[in-house]
Amino acid sequence: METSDPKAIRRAVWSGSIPCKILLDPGESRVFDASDPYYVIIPRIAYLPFFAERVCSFFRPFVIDPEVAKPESAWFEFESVPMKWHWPVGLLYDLFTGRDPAANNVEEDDEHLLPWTLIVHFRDYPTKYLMRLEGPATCHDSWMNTVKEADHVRNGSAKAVMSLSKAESTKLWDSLQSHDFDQFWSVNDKLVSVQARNIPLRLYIPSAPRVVQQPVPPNLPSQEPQTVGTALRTLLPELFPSQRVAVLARPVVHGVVVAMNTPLLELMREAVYPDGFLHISLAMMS
Amino acid sequence: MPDLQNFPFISTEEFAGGCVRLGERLKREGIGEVMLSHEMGGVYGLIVRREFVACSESDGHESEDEDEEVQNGGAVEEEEDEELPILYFNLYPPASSAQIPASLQQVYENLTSAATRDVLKSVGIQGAISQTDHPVLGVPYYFVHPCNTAAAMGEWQQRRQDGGEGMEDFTAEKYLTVWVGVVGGAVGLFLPSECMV
Repeated sequence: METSDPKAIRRAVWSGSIPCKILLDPGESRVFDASDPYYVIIPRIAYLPFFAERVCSFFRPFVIDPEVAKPESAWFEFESVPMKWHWPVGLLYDLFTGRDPAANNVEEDDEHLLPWTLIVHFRDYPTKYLMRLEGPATCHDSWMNTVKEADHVRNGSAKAVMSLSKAESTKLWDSLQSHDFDQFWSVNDKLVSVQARNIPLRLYIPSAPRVVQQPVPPNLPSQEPQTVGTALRTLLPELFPSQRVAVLARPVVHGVVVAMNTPLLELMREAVYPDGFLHISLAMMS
Repeated sequence: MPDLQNFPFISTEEFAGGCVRLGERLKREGIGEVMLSHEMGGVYGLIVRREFVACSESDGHESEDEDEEVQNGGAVEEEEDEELPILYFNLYPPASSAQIPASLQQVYENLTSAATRDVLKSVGIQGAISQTDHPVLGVPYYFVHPCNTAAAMGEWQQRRQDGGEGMEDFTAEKYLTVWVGVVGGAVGLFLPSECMV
């Protein structure tokens, strides 16, 4: 059946979101654990720093020391783990809740009821584990570095990104922050639709978590298309002994289990994150 | 050791070979060592060098005239289909036995000279130095943007040729020595003259 909108998948990816409930660390609160929670719906493709200002403003009346409540000092924790602000929120949710979207066990699913509950801190920024936020430009800089890296993986150089005009480059970042699909893809399409030498892919294994990044060509030596299954079997053979069937773990992209026979190049073109990478988290099968 | 095929670029194999040779030289001089590892489709050479530098407090507070110790660990990395090495490094202020990385401002103030600081800060969105999660170690590390490496190495080559020297015998080991000076020099990392090839 023909899709009426060739951008349907990209739009679906763009519109995915995680309802979040943010609590203030009771130790930093004048009213201990009685401060209001902050409810916010965060797009899966967005980043926590985009919301830091709002969170700060909301909690400033409740913090013991309002001087400390600055966006650059805010860090978010889920189940005692500091959340990396340079990872997309959807990836953080999928990886750290560890939910298996294909699990049949309804009771297990109850553990991961939405809204996703995070605790915000303004003190004791864990600089050993979390990159610093020097200011609003840091998030932009970090994202841009990832965009360049993805370009390099695709083309062997970051020339395509480096040769974007200032207007185009600004448009990419601004439209990501304002969540404007048409503006964003008006620039991004030409970056992503190339004949890629390698697919910018990052795999996230829960617990540690461990990040695996290795160049993966769009076709196998046999000229058959590289699939999600063949890539996983090559990169993580101990977790993916079969390239056709998920046995120990399932690949999850944007909260959805991806079929092992999905061609990787197509998946990249449709489900790529705005930073240019296909971030795939693994859900361990029970 | 064979000459580089495609200066100012360096292939993974050339890089690995250069690291081994450089490591042998560093060890002979008792300066440090290079630990080579192959991970995630790339080659990583970790230069371990500890240098204690006395510098004054730079944050404007009233201070006793204590000497601070800064510790530099240099990690050099190249990814498989990248043709240029990337320099990863960290700076640990004193009294941080827990190895907590310095702020970007501290990096600029402690590792860069006044001459280079403005240039470094003027490129990109917030300068030529950024933080990232180290691809192997997984913790925050600073790195120098590789965008200008090819041009910087090209400029070095031009000056050399202007000075009447050619590129014969330009091995991967020489490349790394020059590269550490060119890119590393911007952040205060350099190989002592005993190591010059």
